[in-house]
Amino acid sequence: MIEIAKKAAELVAPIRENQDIKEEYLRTIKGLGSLVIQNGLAGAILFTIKKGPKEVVEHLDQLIEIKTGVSQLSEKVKNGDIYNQKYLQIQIAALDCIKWLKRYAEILLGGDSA
Amino acid sequence: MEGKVFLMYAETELHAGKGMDIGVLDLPIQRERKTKFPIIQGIKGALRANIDNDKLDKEKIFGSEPGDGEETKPGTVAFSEAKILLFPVRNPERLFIWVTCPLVLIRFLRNFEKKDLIKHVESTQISDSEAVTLDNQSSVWIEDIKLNAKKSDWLLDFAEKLSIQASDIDYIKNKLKKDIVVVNDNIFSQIVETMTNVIPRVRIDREKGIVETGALWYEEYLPQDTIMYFIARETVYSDGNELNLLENALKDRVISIGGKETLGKGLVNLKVVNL
Repeated sequence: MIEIAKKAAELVAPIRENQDIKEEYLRTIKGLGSLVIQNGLAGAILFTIKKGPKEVVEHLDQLIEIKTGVSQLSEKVKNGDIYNQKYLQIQIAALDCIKWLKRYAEILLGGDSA
Repeated sequence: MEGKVFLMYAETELHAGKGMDIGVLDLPIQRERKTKFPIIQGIKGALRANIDNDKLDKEKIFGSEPGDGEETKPGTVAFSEAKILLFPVRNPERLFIWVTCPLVLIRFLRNFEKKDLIKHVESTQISDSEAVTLDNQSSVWIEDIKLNAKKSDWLLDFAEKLSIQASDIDYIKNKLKKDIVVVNDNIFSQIVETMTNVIPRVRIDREKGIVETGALWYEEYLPQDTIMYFIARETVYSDGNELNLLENALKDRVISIGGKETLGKGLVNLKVVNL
Protein backbone atom coordinates (compact mmCIF):
# COMPACT_ATOMS: atom_id res chain seq x y z
CA MET A 1 0.00 0.00 0.00
CA ILE A 2 2.79 2.41 0.85
CA GLU A 3 4.35 1.70 -2.53
CA ILE A 4 1.05 2.58 -4.23
CA ALA A 5 0.72 5.79 -2.21
CA LYS A 6 4.30 6.82 -2.98
CA LYS A 7 3.89 6.17 -6.68
CA ALA A 8 0.55 8.03 -6.76
CA ALA A 9 2.21 11.08 -5.18
CA GLU A 10 5.05 10.93 -7.72
CA LEU A 11 2.63 10.72 -10.64
CA VAL A 12 0.26 13.48 -9.51
CA ALA A 13 2.89 16.04 -8.45
CA PRO A 14 3.97 17.10 -11.98
CA ILE A 15 0.32 17.70 -12.97
CA ARG A 16 0.40 20.69 -10.60
CA GLU A 17 2.60 22.53 -13.08
CA ASN A 18 0.50 21.56 -16.11
CA GLN A 19 -2.18 24.28 -16.22
CA ASP A 20 -3.72 22.81 -19.40
CA ILE A 21 -4.95 19.62 -17.73
CA LYS A 22 -4.82 20.34 -14.00
CA GLU A 23 -8.56 21.07 -13.57
CA GLU A 24 -9.65 18.30 -15.90
CA TYR A 25 -7.36 15.77 -14.23
CA LEU A 26 -8.78 16.60 -10.82
CA ARG A 27 -12.39 16.53 -12.02
CA THR A 28 -11.88 13.19 -13.81
CA ILE A 29 -10.10 11.46 -10.95
CA LYS A 30 -12.75 12.63 -8.45
CA GLY A 31 -15.51 10.99 -10.46
CA LEU A 32 -13.61 7.93 -11.64
CA GLY A 33 -14.40 5.73 -8.63
CA SER A 34 -18.11 6.39 -9.08
CA LEU A 35 -17.77 5.68 -12.81
CA VAL A 36 -16.14 2.28 -12.08
CA ILE A 37 -18.82 1.27 -9.57
CA GLN A 38 -21.67 2.33 -11.83
CA ASN A 39 -20.32 1.01 -15.14
CA GLY A 40 -17.64 -1.54 -14.36
CA LEU A 41 -13.90 -1.07 -14.76
CA ALA A 42 -13.75 -1.84 -18.48
CA GLY A 43 -16.49 0.65 -19.33
CA ALA A 44 -14.95 3.31 -17.09
CA ILE A 45 -11.50 2.87 -18.66
CA LEU A 46 -12.83 3.01 -22.23
CA PHE A 47 -14.82 6.15 -21.39
CA THR A 48 -11.78 7.81 -19.84
CA ILE A 49 -9.54 6.87 -22.79
CA LYS A 50 -12.02 8.63 -25.06
CA LYS A 51 -12.70 11.59 -22.80
CA GLY A 52 -9.22 12.13 -21.35
CA PRO A 53 -7.02 13.43 -20.00
CA LYS A 54 -4.73 10.60 -21.07
CA GLU A 55 -2.60 11.07 -17.94
CA VAL A 56 -5.40 9.64 -15.76
CA VAL A 57 -5.40 6.34 -17.66
CA GLU A 58 -1.59 6.24 -17.80
CA HIS A 59 -1.34 6.77 -14.05
CA LEU A 60 -4.00 4.17 -13.33
CA ASP A 61 -2.18 1.65 -15.54
CA GLN A 62 1.05 2.16 -13.62
CA LEU A 63 -0.55 1.76 -10.21
CA ILE A 64 -2.56 -1.31 -11.24
CA GLU A 65 0.63 -2.92 -12.50
CA ILE A 66 2.27 -2.41 -9.11
CA LYS A 67 -0.76 -3.74 -7.25
CA THR A 68 -1.73 -6.71 -9.45
CA GLY A 69 1.18 -7.39 -11.81
CA VAL A 70 -1.13 -6.76 -14.79
CA SER A 71 0.66 -4.35 -17.14
CA GLN A 72 -0.95 -1.93 -19.60
CA LEU A 73 -4.48 -2.72 -18.43
CA SER A 74 -6.02 0.00 -20.58
CA GLU A 75 -4.49 -1.57 -23.72
CA LYS A 76 -5.83 -4.97 -22.67
CA VAL A 77 -9.30 -3.46 -22.13
CA LYS A 78 -9.09 -1.74 -25.54
CA ASN A 79 -8.25 -5.08 -27.15
CA GLY A 80 -10.89 -6.96 -25.18
CA ASP A 81 -8.15 -8.98 -23.51
CA ILE A 82 -9.15 -9.13 -19.84
CA TYR A 83 -9.42 -12.31 -17.88
CA ASN A 84 -12.94 -13.10 -16.72
CA GLN A 85 -12.11 -14.57 -13.33
CA LYS A 86 -9.62 -11.87 -12.44
CA TYR A 87 -11.86 -9.01 -13.53
CA LEU A 88 -13.49 -8.37 -10.16
CA GLN A 89 -10.15 -8.67 -8.39
CA ILE A 90 -8.57 -6.11 -10.73
CA GLN A 91 -11.61 -3.87 -10.32
CA ILE A 92 -11.15 -3.84 -6.53
CA ALA A 93 -7.44 -3.11 -7.00
CA ALA A 94 -8.28 -0.30 -9.43
CA LEU A 95 -10.60 1.32 -6.88
CA ASP A 96 -7.80 1.30 -4.34
CA CYS A 97 -5.44 2.88 -6.88
CA ILE A 98 -8.03 5.54 -7.77
CA LYS A 99 -8.43 6.29 -4.08
CA TRP A 100 -4.73 7.18 -3.80
CA LEU A 101 -4.70 9.22 -7.02
CA LYS A 102 -7.79 11.10 -5.81
CA ARG A 103 -6.26 11.80 -2.41
CA TYR A 104 -3.08 13.24 -3.88
CA ALA A 105 -4.94 15.12 -6.60
CA GLU A 106 -7.13 16.82 -3.98
CA ILE A 107 -4.12 17.76 -1.90
CA LEU A 108 -1.71 18.72 -4.66
CA LEU A 109 -4.06 20.15 -7.29
CA GLY A 110 -6.48 22.09 -5.13
CA GLY A 111 -9.43 19.84 -4.38
CA ASP A 112 -12.21 22.31 -5.11
CA SER A 113 -13.15 21.34 -8.62
CA ALA A 114 -16.79 20.44 -9.18
CA MET B 1 -34.01 -20.04 18.75
CA GLU B 2 -34.34 -17.49 21.54
CA GLY B 3 -34.77 -14.43 19.36
CA LYS B 4 -36.76 -13.49 16.29
CA VAL B 5 -35.31 -12.86 12.85
CA PHE B 6 -36.71 -9.85 11.03
CA LEU B 7 -36.23 -9.71 7.28
CA MET B 8 -35.83 -6.27 5.71
CA TYR B 9 -36.76 -6.03 2.01
CA ALA B 10 -35.60 -2.74 0.50
CA GLU B 11 -38.53 -1.01 -1.20
CA THR B 12 -36.22 1.85 -2.19
CA GLU B 13 -32.46 2.42 -2.24
CA LEU B 14 -30.88 2.46 1.24
CA HIS B 15 -28.19 4.74 2.60
CA ALA B 16 -26.97 3.90 6.09
CA GLY B 17 -23.87 6.04 5.91
CA LYS B 18 -20.58 5.71 7.74
CA GLY B 19 -20.01 9.47 7.54
CA MET B 20 -17.21 11.17 5.66
CA ASP B 21 -14.66 8.89 4.06
CA ILE B 22 -11.37 9.20 2.24
CA GLY B 23 -12.07 6.48 -0.32
CA VAL B 24 -13.33 6.90 -3.87
CA LEU B 25 -16.82 7.88 -2.64
CA ASP B 26 -17.57 10.81 -0.36
CA LEU B 27 -20.49 9.25 1.52
CA PRO B 28 -20.13 5.46 1.53
CA ILE B 29 -22.46 2.98 3.21
CA GLN B 30 -21.59 1.09 6.40
CA ARG B 31 -19.68 -2.16 5.95
CA GLU B 32 -18.03 -4.83 8.06
CA ARG B 33 -14.37 -3.94 8.17
CA LYS B 34 -13.03 -7.44 7.52
CA THR B 35 -15.43 -8.69 4.84
CA LYS B 36 -16.74 -5.44 3.32
CA PHE B 37 -20.27 -6.90 3.60
CA PRO B 38 -22.87 -4.11 3.95
CA ILE B 39 -24.39 -3.65 7.41
CA ILE B 40 -26.76 -1.18 9.04
CA GLN B 41 -26.09 -0.17 12.61
CA GLY B 42 -28.56 1.58 14.86
CA ILE B 43 -31.58 -0.60 14.10
CA LYS B 44 -32.94 0.08 17.59
CA GLY B 45 -33.11 3.84 17.04
CA ALA B 46 -34.76 3.44 13.64
CA LEU B 47 -37.41 1.11 15.03
CA ARG B 48 -38.08 3.37 18.00
CA ALA B 49 -38.58 6.33 15.66
CA ASN B 50 -40.96 4.38 13.40
CA ILE B 51 -43.36 2.94 15.96
CA ASP B 52 -46.20 4.97 17.42
CA ASN B 53 -46.58 5.03 21.20
CA ASP B 54 -50.16 3.76 20.97
CA LYS B 55 -48.95 0.63 19.12
CA LEU B 56 -46.35 -0.37 21.68
CA ASP B 57 -44.99 0.58 25.12
CA LYS B 58 -41.80 1.96 23.62
CA GLU B 59 -40.07 2.67 26.91
CA LYS B 60 -40.59 -0.93 27.99
CA ILE B 61 -39.20 -2.37 24.76
CA PHE B 62 -36.41 0.11 23.95
CA GLY B 63 -35.66 1.58 27.38
CA SER B 64 -35.91 5.21 28.40
CA GLU B 65 -35.01 7.97 25.98
CA PRO B 66 -31.45 9.20 26.43
CA GLY B 67 -31.08 12.59 28.08
CA ASP B 68 -34.27 12.56 30.18
CA GLY B 69 -32.28 13.62 33.22
CA GLU B 70 -33.93 10.92 35.29
CA GLU B 71 -32.65 7.48 36.14
CA THR B 72 -32.50 5.50 32.90
CA LYS B 73 -34.43 2.28 32.33
CA PRO B 74 -32.92 -0.49 30.23
CA GLY B 75 -34.78 -1.97 27.30
CA THR B 76 -36.22 -5.46 27.35
CA VAL B 77 -35.20 -6.28 23.77
CA ALA B 78 -31.69 -6.20 22.26
CA PHE B 79 -31.16 -5.70 18.51
CA SER B 80 -28.34 -6.85 16.27
CA GLU B 81 -27.03 -4.78 13.42
CA ALA B 82 -28.73 -5.51 10.09
CA LYS B 83 -26.71 -7.92 7.96
CA ILE B 84 -26.82 -8.62 4.25
CA LEU B 85 -28.64 -11.75 3.05
CA LEU B 86 -29.31 -11.27 -0.68
CA PHE B 87 -27.76 -8.59 -2.88
CA PRO B 88 -29.42 -7.77 -6.24
CA VAL B 89 -27.23 -7.41 -9.34
CA ARG B 90 -27.93 -6.68 -12.98
CA ASN B 91 -28.41 -9.74 -15.19
CA PRO B 92 -28.95 -9.51 -18.95
CA GLU B 93 -31.24 -12.55 -19.10
CA ARG B 94 -33.35 -12.04 -15.96
CA LEU B 95 -33.12 -8.27 -15.41
CA PHE B 96 -31.65 -8.85 -11.98
CA ILE B 97 -30.73 -11.77 -9.75
CA TRP B 98 -29.89 -11.99 -6.06
CA VAL B 99 -26.38 -13.01 -5.05
CA THR B 100 -25.25 -14.42 -1.74
CA CYS B 101 -22.37 -16.58 -0.44
CA PRO B 102 -21.73 -19.46 1.98
CA LEU B 103 -20.56 -17.27 4.88
CA VAL B 104 -23.67 -15.09 4.68
CA LEU B 105 -25.97 -18.12 4.45
CA ILE B 106 -24.31 -19.92 7.35
CA ARG B 107 -24.58 -16.82 9.57
CA PHE B 108 -28.26 -16.52 8.66
CA LEU B 109 -29.13 -20.23 9.02
CA ARG B 110 -27.44 -20.50 12.43
CA ASN B 111 -30.27 -18.39 13.81
CA PHE B 112 -32.70 -21.20 12.99
CA GLU B 113 -30.40 -24.09 13.96
CA LYS B 114 -30.72 -25.50 10.45
CA LYS B 115 -27.81 -27.91 10.88
CA ASP B 116 -28.55 -30.06 7.84
CA LEU B 117 -28.82 -27.10 5.52
CA ILE B 118 -25.66 -25.58 7.01
CA LYS B 119 -23.81 -28.85 6.32
CA HIS B 120 -24.90 -28.73 2.68
CA VAL B 121 -23.70 -25.14 2.36
CA GLU B 122 -20.39 -25.96 4.05
CA SER B 123 -19.71 -28.94 1.82
CA THR B 124 -20.35 -27.06 -1.43
CA GLN B 125 -17.10 -26.01 -3.06
CA ILE B 126 -17.43 -22.92 -5.23
CA SER B 127 -14.43 -21.71 -7.23
CA ASP B 128 -13.91 -18.10 -8.38
CA SER B 129 -15.39 -19.00 -11.77
CA GLU B 130 -18.49 -20.80 -10.49
CA ALA B 131 -21.91 -20.02 -9.05
CA VAL B 132 -24.51 -22.30 -7.50
CA THR B 133 -27.89 -21.80 -9.17
CA LEU B 134 -31.49 -22.93 -8.87
CA ASP B 135 -31.91 -24.30 -12.39
CA ASN B 136 -29.98 -26.18 -15.04
CA GLN B 137 -28.48 -23.27 -16.93
CA SER B 138 -24.83 -23.71 -17.93
CA SER B 139 -23.69 -20.21 -16.99
CA VAL B 140 -24.88 -17.12 -15.19
CA TRP B 141 -24.07 -13.47 -15.77
CA ILE B 142 -23.38 -11.15 -12.86
CA GLU B 143 -23.25 -7.77 -14.57
CA ASP B 144 -20.20 -8.16 -16.88
CA ILE B 145 -18.96 -11.39 -15.30
CA LYS B 146 -19.85 -14.81 -16.70
CA LEU B 147 -19.66 -17.69 -14.20
CA ASN B 148 -20.13 -21.41 -14.74
CA ALA B 149 -23.39 -22.52 -13.14
CA LYS B 150 -23.97 -25.66 -11.10
CA LYS B 151 -27.34 -26.60 -9.66
CA SER B 152 -27.81 -27.55 -6.01
CA ASP B 153 -30.92 -28.98 -4.41
CA TRP B 154 -30.20 -27.41 -1.02
CA LEU B 155 -30.43 -23.96 -2.58
CA LEU B 156 -33.85 -24.89 -3.93
CA ASP B 157 -34.93 -25.88 -0.42
CA PHE B 158 -33.65 -22.57 0.99
CA ALA B 159 -35.23 -20.45 -1.77
CA GLU B 160 -38.62 -22.17 -1.40
CA LYS B 161 -38.76 -21.57 2.35
CA LEU B 162 -37.47 -18.00 2.17
CA SER B 163 -39.67 -16.92 -0.72
CA ILE B 164 -42.89 -17.82 1.09
CA GLN B 165 -42.02 -15.49 3.96
CA ALA B 166 -39.98 -12.74 2.36
CA SER B 167 -42.72 -10.93 0.49
CA ASP B 168 -46.49 -10.66 0.11
CA ILE B 169 -46.11 -10.08 -3.60
CA ASP B 170 -46.41 -13.20 -5.73
CA TYR B 171 -44.12 -11.79 -8.42
CA ILE B 172 -41.28 -11.34 -5.90
CA LYS B 173 -41.96 -14.74 -4.32
CA ASN B 174 -41.72 -16.45 -7.70
CA LYS B 175 -38.59 -14.53 -8.63
CA LEU B 176 -36.93 -15.52 -5.35
CA LYS B 177 -37.64 -19.18 -6.17
CA LYS B 178 -35.75 -18.88 -9.47
CA ASP B 179 -33.20 -16.11 -9.29
CA ILE B 180 -30.86 -16.63 -6.32
CA VAL B 181 -27.24 -17.59 -7.00
CA VAL B 182 -24.44 -18.38 -4.57
CA VAL B 183 -20.86 -17.34 -5.28
CA ASN B 184 -17.85 -17.86 -3.05
CA ASP B 185 -17.16 -15.49 -0.16
CA ASN B 186 -14.38 -13.56 -1.90
CA ILE B 187 -16.36 -12.96 -5.08
CA PHE B 188 -19.37 -11.88 -3.00
CA SER B 189 -17.23 -9.38 -1.11
CA GLN B 190 -16.00 -7.97 -4.43
CA ILE B 191 -19.55 -7.79 -5.79
CA VAL B 192 -21.00 -5.92 -2.81
CA GLU B 193 -18.07 -3.51 -2.91
CA THR B 194 -18.22 -2.71 -6.62
CA MET B 195 -21.88 -3.12 -7.63
CA THR B 196 -23.71 -0.72 -5.33
CA ASN B 197 -25.55 2.35 -6.63
CA VAL B 198 -23.63 5.62 -6.67
CA ILE B 199 -25.41 8.93 -7.06
CA PRO B 200 -23.66 12.24 -7.72
CA ARG B 201 -25.17 15.15 -5.81
CA VAL B 202 -24.58 18.87 -6.21
CA ARG B 203 -25.43 21.97 -4.20
CA ILE B 204 -26.83 24.92 -6.16
CA ASP B 205 -25.75 28.46 -5.36
CA ARG B 206 -29.13 30.13 -4.67
CA GLU B 207 -28.07 33.54 -5.96
CA LYS B 208 -26.31 32.43 -9.14
CA GLY B 209 -28.52 29.41 -9.84
CA ILE B 210 -25.52 27.26 -10.74
CA VAL B 211 -23.51 24.57 -8.96
CA GLU B 212 -21.36 25.97 -6.16
CA THR B 213 -17.63 25.50 -6.66
CA GLY B 214 -16.54 22.25 -5.07
CA ALA B 215 -20.12 21.28 -4.20
CA LEU B 216 -20.14 17.93 -5.99
CA TRP B 217 -20.15 14.74 -3.98
CA TYR B 218 -20.87 11.05 -4.50
CA GLU B 219 -23.24 9.04 -2.29
CA GLU B 220 -23.41 5.26 -2.15
CA TYR B 221 -26.67 3.32 -1.82
CA LEU B 222 -27.70 -0.30 -1.43
CA PRO B 223 -29.96 -1.07 -4.38
CA GLN B 224 -33.72 -1.49 -4.15
CA ASP B 225 -34.59 -5.21 -3.64
CA THR B 226 -31.62 -5.75 -1.31
CA ILE B 227 -32.64 -8.20 1.43
CA MET B 228 -31.11 -7.82 4.90
CA TYR B 229 -32.03 -9.16 8.33
CA PHE B 230 -31.59 -8.37 12.00
CA ILE B 231 -32.18 -10.35 15.16
CA ALA B 232 -34.15 -9.20 18.18
CA ARG B 233 -33.58 -10.97 21.51
CA GLU B 234 -35.10 -10.44 24.92
CA THR B 235 -32.74 -9.13 27.58
CA VAL B 236 -32.61 -10.20 31.23
CA TYR B 237 -35.09 -7.40 32.02
CA SER B 238 -37.75 -9.02 29.86
CA ASP B 239 -41.02 -10.52 31.17
CA GLY B 240 -40.91 -13.03 28.33
CA ASN B 241 -43.57 -11.52 26.08
CA GLU B 242 -41.91 -8.44 24.63
CA LEU B 243 -40.76 -10.12 21.43
CA ASN B 244 -44.33 -11.04 20.58
CA LEU B 245 -45.46 -7.47 21.24
CA LEU B 246 -42.64 -6.20 19.03
CA GLU B 247 -43.50 -8.65 16.28
CA ASN B 248 -47.13 -7.56 16.29
CA ALA B 249 -46.10 -3.91 16.11
CA LEU B 250 -43.56 -4.41 13.31
CA LYS B 251 -44.56 -7.28 11.06
CA ASP B 252 -45.56 -6.33 7.52
CA ARG B 253 -44.76 -2.69 8.28
CA VAL B 254 -42.84 -0.46 5.89
CA ILE B 255 -40.45 1.68 7.91
CA SER B 256 -37.74 4.18 7.15
CA ILE B 257 -34.14 3.32 7.95
CA GLY B 258 -30.88 5.11 7.30
CA GLY B 259 -30.50 8.54 5.75
CA LYS B 260 -31.94 10.54 2.84
CA GLU B 261 -35.54 9.86 3.88
CA THR B 262 -36.83 13.07 2.32
CA LEU B 263 -35.20 12.06 -0.98
CA GLY B 264 -37.44 9.00 -0.98
CA LYS B 265 -34.77 6.59 0.22
CA GLY B 266 -34.58 4.10 3.06
CA LEU B 267 -37.95 2.32 2.95
CA VAL B 268 -37.87 -1.33 4.01
CA ASN B 269 -40.63 -3.88 4.43
CA LEU B 270 -40.33 -5.94 7.62
CA LYS B 271 -41.23 -9.61 7.94
CA VAL B 272 -40.60 -12.07 10.74
CA VAL B 273 -39.13 -15.26 9.29
CA ASN B 274 -38.77 -18.76 10.66
CA LEU B 275 -37.22 -21.27 8.28
